[in-house]
Amino acid sequence: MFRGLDLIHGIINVLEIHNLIYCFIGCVLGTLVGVLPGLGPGATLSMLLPITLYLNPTGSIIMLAGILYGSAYGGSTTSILVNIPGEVGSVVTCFDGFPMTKQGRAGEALWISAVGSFIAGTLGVMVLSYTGPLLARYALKFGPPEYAGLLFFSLTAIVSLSGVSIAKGIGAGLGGMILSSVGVDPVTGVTRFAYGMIGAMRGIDLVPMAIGLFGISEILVSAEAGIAKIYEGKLGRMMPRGKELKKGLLASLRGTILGIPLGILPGMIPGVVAYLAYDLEKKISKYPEKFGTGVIEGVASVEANNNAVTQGNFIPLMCLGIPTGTSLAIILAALMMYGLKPGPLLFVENKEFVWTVIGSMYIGNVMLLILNLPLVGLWAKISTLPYKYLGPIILGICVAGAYSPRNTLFDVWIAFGAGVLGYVMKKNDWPQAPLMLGFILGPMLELSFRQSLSMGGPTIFFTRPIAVAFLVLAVIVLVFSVKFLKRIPKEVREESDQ
Amino acid sequence: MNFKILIEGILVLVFGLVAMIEGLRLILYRDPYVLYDPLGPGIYILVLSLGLMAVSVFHFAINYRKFPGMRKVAASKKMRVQLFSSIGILALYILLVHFVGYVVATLTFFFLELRVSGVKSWRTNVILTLVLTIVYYVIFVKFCDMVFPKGLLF
Repeated sequence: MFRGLDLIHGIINVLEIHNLIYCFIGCVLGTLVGVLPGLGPGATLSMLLPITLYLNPTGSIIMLAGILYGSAYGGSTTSILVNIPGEVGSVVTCFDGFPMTKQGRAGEALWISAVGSFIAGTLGVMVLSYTGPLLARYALKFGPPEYAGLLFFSLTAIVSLSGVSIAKGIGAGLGGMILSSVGVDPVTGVTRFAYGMIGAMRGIDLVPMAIGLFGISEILVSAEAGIAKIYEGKLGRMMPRGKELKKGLLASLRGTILGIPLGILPGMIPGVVAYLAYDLEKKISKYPEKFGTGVIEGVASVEANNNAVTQGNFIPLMCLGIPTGTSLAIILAALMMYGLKPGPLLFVENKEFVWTVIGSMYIGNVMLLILNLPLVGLWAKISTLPYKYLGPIILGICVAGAYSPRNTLFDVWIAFGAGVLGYVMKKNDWPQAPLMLGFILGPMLELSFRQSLSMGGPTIFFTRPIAVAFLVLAVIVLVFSVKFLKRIPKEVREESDQ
Repeated sequence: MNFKILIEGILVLVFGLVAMIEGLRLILYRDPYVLYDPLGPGIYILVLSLGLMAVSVFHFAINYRKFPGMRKVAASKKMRVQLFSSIGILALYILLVHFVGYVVATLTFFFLELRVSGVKSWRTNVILTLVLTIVYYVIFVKFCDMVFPKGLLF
């Protein structure tokens, strides 16, 4: 049930100066990583994760969440101005955003993208506020078989919808699950894959794995690229007028309505969902042939959708403890590091924390609107910061970050190995998201699966309707994904698996 | 034949094989008194490894005739040298942290990495190296209380 007073209490908590500062830092960093091509929210979250250990839990999660939804705002700036998507979700924004810039309507594109993002972000948090407690109350009835079914469905969706090839997605997911099993077995206590190494006996920690796979590999890939362009033209009028404004706002609403439910589902990567919003807009338009030449609905719908998906992603994370993507998985890790148990009990045992984080999202969306509209020129300039400075700075943070959770150089070597592996995977079109999600969800799936079998053998799954429903859904998503992915343009799929 | 796919297939297969051997080892040496865990640690690993090996064979069978895609622009020789140098410097940094301590290792790392990344001016390089090392020392050692290996130096 929606608790209005809890939400008001949460918002009042956020208005305390230290929480406001964390929220502001998160929004600024989020916008920054959104505008910087090659540096995604996953990399930033993984690098900051060890540092947040030294901050208070509520402030840290407010900041990490701010980075995540802030990046969805910032990603559009470089897509619109220089035709380079700042992050995966903004690939489709380039389709109409950049043509609008070429027509001298960059200001309008940026305005509708920021306002559309604000609408989506705010509506998304409202849905989280209303449905979160309801879903959490329902999920309290879940036992190990239901969780095993849910995790199996989540993993299947993530690997199936991960990008260019289902086989590569499944391979990466299984690889992640095997890597997560290194160390002490959670049930019997025997060591697996240790080969006498003390470091391996302690298992592979999530932080170095995430830092390597997303931080170090991003820098290695960027070492081969580099961005030299900067937008030097005029932005033109900011706020669209008359029919353009109405069309833009309506498209933002449609993008939001499509994005929130899809954001709740695992595996729905922002780039692919953004394309679905774009495709829908094109289908219902009276002038579909004009899409791709600078149509405001093409920008508004996609950007709103992008933000709606990001906000929707928080619902399964907070209510069920299931991350639907890699960035969410890192936030899940942060929650676990603070001793908080993400899932339905979070709404019962850590009520104040949950509602403060949700409250921060309302305030963060307002901050982002203010940050993104008047300061758009500044963000465009920052997006051209050369990698010759950025690369070494980030690599230095990665090494210290990988070392910090357990104070061992074994973890730094793991981060190094994961970085090289991530680089090789990227260069050969192997998706990283299933590897990471397999690594995080693998131990949860293994434990709930083994607990279920201990409870009643393999047939237990067929005696529990919810577990059966999840298993059937997993099969459906696997079959459906083959047809579904064929409809998405290759360039969107290839960008999305990065 | 597409050799890239062949190499990918072999690497995934080897990874699956290593996991399968570990799974079999765990099944063979399973504690017979553990009755509450029918799946055991070994069967889980074995199932995953068999799945991975099946994927590698499937991936190879489907794609071995396909011509490698030309989507990604090949990096220039200069960029490749920069990339491999960065990987080498990073590995050296981790080794140096162990042997000579965090401060000296970080100074060396920033000096080399900035140079390789394209900061050509010696003055800028030295200033940035010093500033970054001090900032990182303050953040990680003083603020975050991280205990790095002392090494031979400090």
